[in-house]
Amino acid sequence: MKEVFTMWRHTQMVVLVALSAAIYAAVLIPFKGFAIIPGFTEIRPANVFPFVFGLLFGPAGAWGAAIGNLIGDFFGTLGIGSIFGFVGNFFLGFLPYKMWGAYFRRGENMEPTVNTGKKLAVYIAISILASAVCADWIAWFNDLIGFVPFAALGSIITVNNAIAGIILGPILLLVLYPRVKRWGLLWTEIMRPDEVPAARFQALGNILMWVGGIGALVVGLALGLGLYKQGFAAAGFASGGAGGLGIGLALLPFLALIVIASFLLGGREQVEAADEEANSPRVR
Amino acid sequence: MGIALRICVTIIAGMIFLSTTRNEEIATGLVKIGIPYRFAFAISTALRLVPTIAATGSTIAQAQRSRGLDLESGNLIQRIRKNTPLLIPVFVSTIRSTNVFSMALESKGFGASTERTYFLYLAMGRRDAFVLLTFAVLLIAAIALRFAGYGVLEGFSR
Repeated sequence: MKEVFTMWRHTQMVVLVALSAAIYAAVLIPFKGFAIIPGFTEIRPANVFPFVFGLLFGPAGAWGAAIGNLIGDFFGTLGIGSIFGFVGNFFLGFLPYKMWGAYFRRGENMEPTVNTGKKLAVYIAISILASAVCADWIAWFNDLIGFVPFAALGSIITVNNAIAGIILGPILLLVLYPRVKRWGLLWTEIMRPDEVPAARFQALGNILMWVGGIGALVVGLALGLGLYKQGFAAAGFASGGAGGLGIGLALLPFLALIVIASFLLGGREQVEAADEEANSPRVR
Repeated sequence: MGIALRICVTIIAGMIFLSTTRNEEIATGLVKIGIPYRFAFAISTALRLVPTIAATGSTIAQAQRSRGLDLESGNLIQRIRKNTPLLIPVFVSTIRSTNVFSMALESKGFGASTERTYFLYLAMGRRDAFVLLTFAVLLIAAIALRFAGYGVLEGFSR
């Protein structure tokens, strides 16, 4: 996760954070009136931006998603839940670029776009996982403090994010990628390899992220919908009420897996691949 | 009543904050509480750019309307489909300004040193302390009322 902090050394990345956040917020705000749970969430086509900006601008896209969502919250959904709205949206922009490298071998074309079937499939898979991880953080915290049950918020956020990302994302990525690359604004072109951690346990990180992200959602929904009464509680697992402390404690290991996986995934291989491409004779 | 008040508060609180606090004050305030200035700068710049982006989008929509494009008719999905192509130039032109923006910042010394000074000086006064104390008391009272069972969002809160 080193790049999340080292990126602030680059003025271009700072500006990209601000621009990503502003675009995300500017599209979020007009839809604040289309509430799904008043005061908590609404129809959000703007959720396509964290995926696209995350892939193109890397950590700047992740910070942009977090800040953009916070600014959007000022126009109708501000509350204590906004703290984990910040965290959840950060992961929504963080996962796409972090996971991307795990699906391509060294030397394989790993440009962050969807111009091949494999890249489109990877993009869709990552969008679903990132949507679930974002929902895990936000719904877990809102359930823990007793605002909204995990089952309601978790499922709505996952579907809301995934629909926007899967339907609008590929179109936006195809439009933006060639331009962003031409302007030299890809995160892999701005950051240096030594500023990004090497992927030493990438496969393990990939597996842990899936287990943590989807596992938290499945277990949270199971507990929230009352399945604990039939099976889990009988096994001595998650004793207590549905949600609240039960969900709060049961999801902690999964959330910990998400954080651990974030440290294992690396990202330097993408920067090195971009460097190699820039230095190849074909480009010169 | 509780639900209505809560929704009103969530909408009004952010609006009051943004309409009564200047961007420079937000940035300086964030730095004062220990947030790195590059991060504070990103937040305040994003806040400043939101209305600019919205205004650019509106200008493009008006320009297309004046050429005969009908953006008003149709259901929600149809309207989104009509408006989406108009937004692409807004995003592209905004992102395109990154390099010029970065050069302008660096030419003014942005990032030249780890610490920076501000023209705007913020200091905690008596009135600030009074307002903070008043709202702290209100917050504690609100939390106490919430635990006493008032302001429950029916169907969602346990």
